[in-house]
Amino acid sequence: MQTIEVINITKSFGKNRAVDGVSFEVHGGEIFGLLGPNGAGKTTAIRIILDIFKPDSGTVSVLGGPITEEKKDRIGYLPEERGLYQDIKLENCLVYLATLKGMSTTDARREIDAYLERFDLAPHRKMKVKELSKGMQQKAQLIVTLVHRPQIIIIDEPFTALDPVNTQMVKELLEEERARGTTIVMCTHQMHQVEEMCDRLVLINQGRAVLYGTLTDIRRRFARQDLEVRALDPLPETIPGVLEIHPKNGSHYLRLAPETSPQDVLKTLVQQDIAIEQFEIAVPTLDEIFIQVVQQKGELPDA
Amino acid sequence: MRKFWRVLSHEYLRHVGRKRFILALLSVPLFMLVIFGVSLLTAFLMIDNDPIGYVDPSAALNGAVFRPEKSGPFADSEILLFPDEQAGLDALRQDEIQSLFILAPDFLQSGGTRLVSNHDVNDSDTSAFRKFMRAELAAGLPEEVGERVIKGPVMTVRALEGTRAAQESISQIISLAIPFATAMLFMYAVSTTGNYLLQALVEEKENRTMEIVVTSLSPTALMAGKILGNMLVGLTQLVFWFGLGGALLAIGLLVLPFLTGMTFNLGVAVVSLGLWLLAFILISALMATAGVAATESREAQQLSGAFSLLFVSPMWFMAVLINHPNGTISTILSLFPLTAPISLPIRMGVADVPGWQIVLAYALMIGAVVLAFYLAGRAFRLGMLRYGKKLTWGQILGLNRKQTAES
Repeated sequence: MQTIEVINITKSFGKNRAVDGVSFEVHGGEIFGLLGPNGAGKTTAIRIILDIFKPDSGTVSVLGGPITEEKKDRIGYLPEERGLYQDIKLENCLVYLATLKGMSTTDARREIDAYLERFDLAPHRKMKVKELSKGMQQKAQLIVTLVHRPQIIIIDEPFTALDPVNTQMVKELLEEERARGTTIVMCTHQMHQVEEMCDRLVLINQGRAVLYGTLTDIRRRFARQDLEVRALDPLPETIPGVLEIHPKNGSHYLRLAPETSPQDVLKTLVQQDIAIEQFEIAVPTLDEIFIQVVQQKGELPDA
Repeated sequence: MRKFWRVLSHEYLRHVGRKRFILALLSVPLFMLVIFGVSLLTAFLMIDNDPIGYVDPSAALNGAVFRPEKSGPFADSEILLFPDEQAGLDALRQDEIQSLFILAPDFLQSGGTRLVSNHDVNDSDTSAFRKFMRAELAAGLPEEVGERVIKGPVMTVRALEGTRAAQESISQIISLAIPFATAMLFMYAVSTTGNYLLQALVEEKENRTMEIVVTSLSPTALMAGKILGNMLVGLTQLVFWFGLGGALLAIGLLVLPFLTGMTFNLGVAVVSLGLWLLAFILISALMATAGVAATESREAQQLSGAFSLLFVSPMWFMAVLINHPNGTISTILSLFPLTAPISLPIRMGVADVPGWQIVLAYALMIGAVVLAFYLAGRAFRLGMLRYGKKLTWGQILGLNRKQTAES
């Protein structure tokens, strides 16, 4: 069963079409990346999933049907615009928000105690939220997202304002949640985090879904028969069937002509007695794919 | 439903537990106490019950003197007779008396009297002597006639276009003052409550908690919890103030005889309470609209200040409302929803207001409440997640279709 199913949703604000026929599915227990440049429509898409906005057309199914008040308790949401009640004590703030997710006050206090200890916030529980540092507030916000043990976590830019230690802690936390079977939808611009953590992704640009699938499939689709070659001897200036050779980080990137196969190049290099240390098909990084897609404004082969 | 109660209790307790609320709660009775205390102190400092002297060459008062039965700071002044003007003036110079009344030799015909005093002449001097004089002049009359002369006329006051008459007395003045004071207190509480609600909404927008909250419960439950929670805060204030006022009034009725003639107009009370309740809802909805439309609390405060000002604006027209209760301005003020809650009860206190006007005032008020709720709902949907972007009245009213989204 799909945990989230988005079918052909559109949403306009005045003349601006923020989301235009977007469809995707999020499978249970996976980390799903929702990517897109600023203003692409991904936050609007999230808000439609969460029933904050109604779509102009299309449907959204969450946990097997339309979202209900009861289902809201099974979702943990960390919006991009972080916020907590500033003028009340941290503990009271967390308990209030946890009880709005359907927890009893007793359960909320018990769970929050554990999280406060884990996040090193226990000594600050009686402090007003506004007295905490930005990083502490970010951690407190994560507690609000996780404390009611949701089945779905929707998390927008989870690593903003976190130092490397806390970034690692959040990653571990998300991995733990995945291991527990929680479905995670992660919105981020940090492509290396997506590469490291996400199973599948959708890239939204100008309101449209321009890339969708598993990370491996997407990379394969964008691979252009380029080779990454690291050799102990200098490479010849020209190689038959190779259009371009350019050095990068101690390796060489070889762009092949359409009719040339990697085996042809390998054969040529061996014949020229060049000692090869590394020879592999160069797969584009997600960063490169992202930039390519956004700059081409979605005009992609087979996208 | 559970989340609605959670929001309600959160909103209620976060205000009621704060020092700011307790100070606001105590400030009204303390303010009244200070005003009352200062007035009492001023009156006390002005009391001069040194003897008053008089010279009566006309022998109209038969050489009478007055010696009060009680002594002390609040006792009446003693009234002494001096044989001639010189003796009286000597006593005045030596501060034996505070003032000297010199009756003309033909006093009974002319009523001529001169007053010489060593301080500014005030009402208490003249009224004490007038009272004494009337009593002495009426001494020889039949008892009933004498009493009438001493008490003077019983005045009945009637407004030119009014249909109701009222006797001029302290109790009647208080009868009119009570609904007025009640209206003011009520409006103060409504305005405070509205401000709390507005603050709560603006804070949620400012600190970005709105987005988490709306993904936890329905906007209806959220708004209902907030409005009712904050209304309860206002109600707590009112119960405290009215309880205190009621207790003081009850004590006053027991110990102050002039209050016993006070009347209570049930019709005015019922109409007023209904209007105030609707006004409570109206201002809550307006404040909620302002709260979600504004980007920061300072801006929202300006909007709420404008609403509050409109609600208390009938104060500027008080003279018109009392002197011409059924005039055009008074009628308009008591029909317009934002000014009706204060204007209509005051009009009803001094004149009979036509029934159709009361019905129309209610109809307009209900219409305004419905419209305000519609606008609040619309503003909430459009403005709840517009961080740092102001929602214009044109957008709320649907006149400007250009909208933007955070995406």
